[in-house]
Amino acid sequence: MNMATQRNRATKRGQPNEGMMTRYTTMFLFLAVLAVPVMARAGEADDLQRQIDYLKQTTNDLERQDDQKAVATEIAMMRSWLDNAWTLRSQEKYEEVRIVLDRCEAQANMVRQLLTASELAAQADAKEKEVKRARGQLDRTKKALENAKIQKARLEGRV
Amino acid sequence: MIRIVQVCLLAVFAAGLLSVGCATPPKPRELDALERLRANPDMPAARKRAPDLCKKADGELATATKKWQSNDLGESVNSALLGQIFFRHALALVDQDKSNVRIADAEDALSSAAEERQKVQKDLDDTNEKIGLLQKQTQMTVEMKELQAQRDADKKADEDKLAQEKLQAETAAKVAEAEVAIKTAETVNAPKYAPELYKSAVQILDKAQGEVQSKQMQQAQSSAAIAKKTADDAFAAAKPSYDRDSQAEENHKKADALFAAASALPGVTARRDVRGSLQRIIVAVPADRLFVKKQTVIAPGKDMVLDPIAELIKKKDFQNFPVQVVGYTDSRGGETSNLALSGARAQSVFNALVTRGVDVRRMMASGQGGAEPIADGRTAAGRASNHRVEIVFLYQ
Repeated sequence: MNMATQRNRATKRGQPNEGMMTRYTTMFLFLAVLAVPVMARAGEADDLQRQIDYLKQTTNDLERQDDQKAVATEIAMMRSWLDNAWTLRSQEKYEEVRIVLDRCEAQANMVRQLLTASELAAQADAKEKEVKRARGQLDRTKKALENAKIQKARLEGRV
Repeated sequence: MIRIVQVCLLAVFAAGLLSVGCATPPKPRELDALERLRANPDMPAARKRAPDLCKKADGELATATKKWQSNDLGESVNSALLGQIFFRHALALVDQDKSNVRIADAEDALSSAAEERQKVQKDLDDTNEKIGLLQKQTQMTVEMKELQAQRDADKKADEDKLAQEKLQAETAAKVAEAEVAIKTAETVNAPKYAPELYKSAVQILDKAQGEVQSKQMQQAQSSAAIAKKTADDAFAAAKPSYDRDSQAEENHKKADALFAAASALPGVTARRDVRGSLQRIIVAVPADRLFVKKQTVIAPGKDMVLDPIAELIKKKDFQNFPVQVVGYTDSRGGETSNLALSGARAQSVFNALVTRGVDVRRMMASGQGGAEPIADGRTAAGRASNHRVEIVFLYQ
């Protein structure tokens, strides 16, 4: 039974035309089938854009945190990669964009660790300087104690 | 033949093309870098610290190598980059651990240094406190010594001053004694009676005063002592002469007064004479004014002539004059009888004077008979004058 026949039957019975319904449904389904990939691609592009934006924001944040410029090269590279990703997205090379974004994500994680390592190294340097200063103070105090003992012995001899 | 050569050349060209087409492309820089990173000395620690990351990196290395060898350079580069990221991530974790260890070590060292410094600082504070006390003690000792020295110096100065004042006082006293001695010598008119000694004493006193002015107290004392002794000697030397002269002068004055008073007495005569060193004032009472004829008892009513004489003898100014009551007769008659008569009459007058209050110890009575006539015995008036009782005041 084709669609035209079904439509005619529905009209004749004074009821909703089943044929038409079927045809609309079919058309809807057809259009839906056609629209899903388009919509899916559009969603993917948006998703990638969000990821790129998110990673760019992440890059900015990381750059702000890098007050010692310890990871400037890595951040510059990451920006370059994100620009590349943006270009690839524009070219709808989504798979390649994902590869690049995955790398950027990994780079961001690495940069975080490098930043942490840099901060810890700076802390360690500061602590070691503090240790050096404390030992200097200790040495000076020891020297002062030694001199004081000599002075005390001299005074005791005098008294 | 040519055909064969052409075929061979073609074959060689084809082989060349084949070899060129199948050759491995140059290794990507990223892959080289990944391999160098993998040889990092810290990599064993990184594998232990982050085995998953290192495993993933190793996987990426293998993929990159495989892709490179299969001429897929894009994939190779991507895997190499990912591998680097994973390795560096792992190495960053190792660095963090190392830094944490360094921080922990530093904190331990800090804590240890702080603890040790606290202990050393405490020892230093204790020692400095002891030093402070010792310095204070030393300072106090020095101050005490200085104070003691100052006290000793003050005491010595006081003693010196006191000794000096004492010496000055002693010297002044000795000088004053010498001055007094000289004044004393002057009271006995030493300049007249002991001029040498007095002059010497004055000169020595002047010397002593000069030595006082020039603060030569010891010498001044010695000089003052010598001046005093000399003045005393001058006094001692001058005093007898002074006393004698003074007494004599006084006696003369008194004698003058006595003589004037005696001359004014009624019924008597007064005269002065010198006998040896003795001066005499003689009040002569004619015998007929007291006695009747040859009697030895004073006639009643006639003794009134003795009243003013007794008053004169008792007068205070003349109390130091010894008095002799001497009876005389004229030259007629026997000597023995004259002596008895004159002695008895002298004794009567003596008694009458005693009766009138004259001190008996001042008087003595004697009879001289006809000796020492005062008038011519050949005439009646002369004999009447010689017949007398004399009240003799003696002085030097």
